[in-house]
Amino acid sequence: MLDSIFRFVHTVKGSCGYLDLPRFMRLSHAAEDVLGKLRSGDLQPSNDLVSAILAVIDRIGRLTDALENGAAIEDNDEILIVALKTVAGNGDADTSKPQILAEFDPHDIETIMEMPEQEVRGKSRSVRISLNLVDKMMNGISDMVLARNEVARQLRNVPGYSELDFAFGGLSSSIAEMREAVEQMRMQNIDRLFSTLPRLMRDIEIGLGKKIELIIESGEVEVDREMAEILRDPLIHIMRNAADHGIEDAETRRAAGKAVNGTIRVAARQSGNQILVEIADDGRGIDIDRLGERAVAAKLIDPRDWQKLSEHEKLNMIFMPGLSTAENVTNISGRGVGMDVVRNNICAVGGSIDLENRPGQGLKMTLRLPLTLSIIAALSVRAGGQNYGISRSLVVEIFSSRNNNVQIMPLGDGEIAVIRGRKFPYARLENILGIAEAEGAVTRTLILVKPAVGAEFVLDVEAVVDTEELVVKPASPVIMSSGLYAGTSLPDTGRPVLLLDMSGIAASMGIEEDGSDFIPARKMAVETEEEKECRSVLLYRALDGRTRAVGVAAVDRIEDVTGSDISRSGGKWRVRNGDRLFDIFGLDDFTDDGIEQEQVTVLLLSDGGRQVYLAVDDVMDIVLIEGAIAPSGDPNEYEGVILVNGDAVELINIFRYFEDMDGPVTSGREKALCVINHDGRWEQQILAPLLRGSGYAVSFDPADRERAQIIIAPEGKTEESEKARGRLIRLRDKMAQTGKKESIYRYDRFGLLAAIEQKIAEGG
Amino acid sequence: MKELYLLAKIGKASVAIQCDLVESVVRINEVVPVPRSRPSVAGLFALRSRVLTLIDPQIVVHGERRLAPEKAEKDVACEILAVIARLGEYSYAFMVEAVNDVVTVNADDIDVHVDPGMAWRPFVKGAAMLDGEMIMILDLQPMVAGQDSMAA
Repeated sequence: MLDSIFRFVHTVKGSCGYLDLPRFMRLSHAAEDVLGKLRSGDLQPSNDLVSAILAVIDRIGRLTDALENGAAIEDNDEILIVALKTVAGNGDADTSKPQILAEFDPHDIETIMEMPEQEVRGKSRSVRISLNLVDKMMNGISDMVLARNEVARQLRNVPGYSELDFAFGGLSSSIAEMREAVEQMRMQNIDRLFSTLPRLMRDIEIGLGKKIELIIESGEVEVDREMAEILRDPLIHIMRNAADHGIEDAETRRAAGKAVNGTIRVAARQSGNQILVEIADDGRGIDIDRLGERAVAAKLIDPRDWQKLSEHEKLNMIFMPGLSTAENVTNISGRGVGMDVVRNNICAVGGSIDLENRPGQGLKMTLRLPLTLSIIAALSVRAGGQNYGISRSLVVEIFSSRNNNVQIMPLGDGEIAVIRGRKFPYARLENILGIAEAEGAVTRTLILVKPAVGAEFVLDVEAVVDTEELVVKPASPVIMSSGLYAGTSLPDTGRPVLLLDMSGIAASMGIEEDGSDFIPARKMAVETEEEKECRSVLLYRALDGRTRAVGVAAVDRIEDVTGSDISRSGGKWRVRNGDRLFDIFGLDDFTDDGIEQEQVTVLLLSDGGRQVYLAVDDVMDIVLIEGAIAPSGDPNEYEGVILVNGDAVELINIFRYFEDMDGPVTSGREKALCVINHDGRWEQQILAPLLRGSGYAVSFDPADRERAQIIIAPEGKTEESEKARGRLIRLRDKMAQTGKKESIYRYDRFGLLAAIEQKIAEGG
Repeated sequence: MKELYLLAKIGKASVAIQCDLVESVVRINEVVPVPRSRPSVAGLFALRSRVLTLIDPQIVVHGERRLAPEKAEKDVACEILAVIARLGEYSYAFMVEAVNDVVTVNADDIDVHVDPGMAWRPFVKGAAMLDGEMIMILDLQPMVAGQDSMAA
């Protein structure tokens, strides 16, 4: 990240020089200097330093605007630059301007940032226009699109007439262009609003003295510009509340077993004809009893009436004006004027706010806002002889019902779908809609859907018909009341099509929200120094029926090969792929020289250079393993044993396959010698084969150290002689480098081999 | 105060609808059914570039069709006559058997105490005598709100 910031400023500086903009040059040069030092580690970041850099960048921004609109900005850049240099501890700060230094305290960056702005932030050419007019234009355009579609439909009945077609094509593309332009007029990606949040969060953090992690998921959601503006203040206010009142201070969090840094997650997504914006925190949640006390104290409610309220109603008291559960009214929030205004603003546009409170664990607020207009990329599917639309953004994958990877199995009163070992709720669309299935459909299509609300599920339809862009308008309440539809649309066919609301369908199937939206407070790491080792492994069922695992990094591909392409000769199994033969393993239990099965699933393993195949029965899942890998009883075969869902699973040692392979690897040069400084089991069983397989000679004999090209030692062993140091590669146990001396993570195959190559190249 | 009303027939009943609300009277060919919707929702249809909801008032009032138009299934092409009325934000089409005339009715002539019977009562504002016939002045809003009548 620092790299990209540095490069950015560097590019700005370069361009400034080219364009002859001296003020910009000085500012960006100063920033680049400091960033360079940060990058090389000569300088440590601090709040003051970041503020100073931001001040310089802000100034560059304002100068850019001023360039455009011709305003004048006082040339007091020097103050900013000197401040930056001073904070950066630059020993030779310009002493020729002692007055400036005397005027202010360089650490008081806030002052600098608040200096009076004489200049007005420039506007690029723009006009103010009434929203009604824009609305009219938008409606007109979407009607035009539909009218054009109707003409297209009629034209299909007219015999081909090239001039007419040509003219119509011109009309169509003009309309399409206009539509895009008008869309941009009203809609913008919610990211533009969200991108201002991290900076805001930082200001809040500094003000409160808390560290809070902000997670933003904008979900590619587009909102009406007006809506984005309306969202801005409520969003900021809710975030401030969450940071100020929700997230506890570090001590309290530690005592509660939570991670010391609080988390606030802001996410946006589209659900049917609404935009949902969620703000969730993992703080203390709302203390309902205390809320009651405050409400009574503020004379907003009678104690007896309070008792009678439902949980939900009590929670909604936070929207009452004049109420605040804040202990101390801080600068940031807590004057008790906030939430009622927020709710009014949201409700005024036809939206609503939902609260989900988990005392001690956090609070989630969901803002719902109506979509004014929506053009959705849709998939049209057929069920019961009728077409329906599904928003493409919700479609994960599409399968034919004949696909081997998918199985529908009865479970209780219903059925579930099993895809590559994972189970999903399943339903036929006809059943959900209560309509009859069309006759004669033998092969159906299965769609894996991830709705905005609810877990993934599989929808079984007659067929997928088409993909198209649909102008979706909300349907009348009598249609929407079933909850299954998001709106209606009129595609090219001229026949109205209902857009299915996947969240509503999930709800009708009884699928619950998958609950992963809520941020569980992360448990405090017991030993904060130790980084856990995390690896992705692929679980598979071997041909002997046992479940095994292989590191995902080693797996290039999963394929099905024809049984007849596999054969054994000279005691080795080989598989033909194209016109090459590859070694294939995992077939040890087979006694014949050939394979009876028609299809065999294989994993294509690679060490970066060569490939081998591993035959398996079935691929099950990919899991992340944390924690140490227990040693295996047979280190040659298995790297270790891992725990997956309570079962012990052996992690195969792929290096042994590569070692077994025929053929030279090196390009004919003499094998370089690696001496391994420690003859532990891992070094003997895993490391040595890896190195040999890569074409190096390996020795554990200390006497060979003199003539070896490379010496490999575990971290912590005492230093060798001066001569040895240049050839030394240290291996460490943990993924992250914590010690001062450079080392390579022992499981980082590629890193190790690359380092060896480099050292050999350097050695000459 | 005089107001214009559109006279129509729903089933065998004579009704009047305020012209203020009426957008148009149309013949519909193709109706797309909406699964899992109320029985009174006959479906959706396209009118120029709009998609409108077609309501069957007979089902709203009686819970069933007592006078069927000439059609076997809902989406077989056939001509359905409908009055399109704007109720609030949305326009709805109401199936009618016939549309007769537009007349002026004096507010004083509307009798609000007349009882059209349990089935019709929620949807009728009053009745007026026109040309020797009692005409029910309809209130369309309740037809699209709330539940359908359970009367069978």
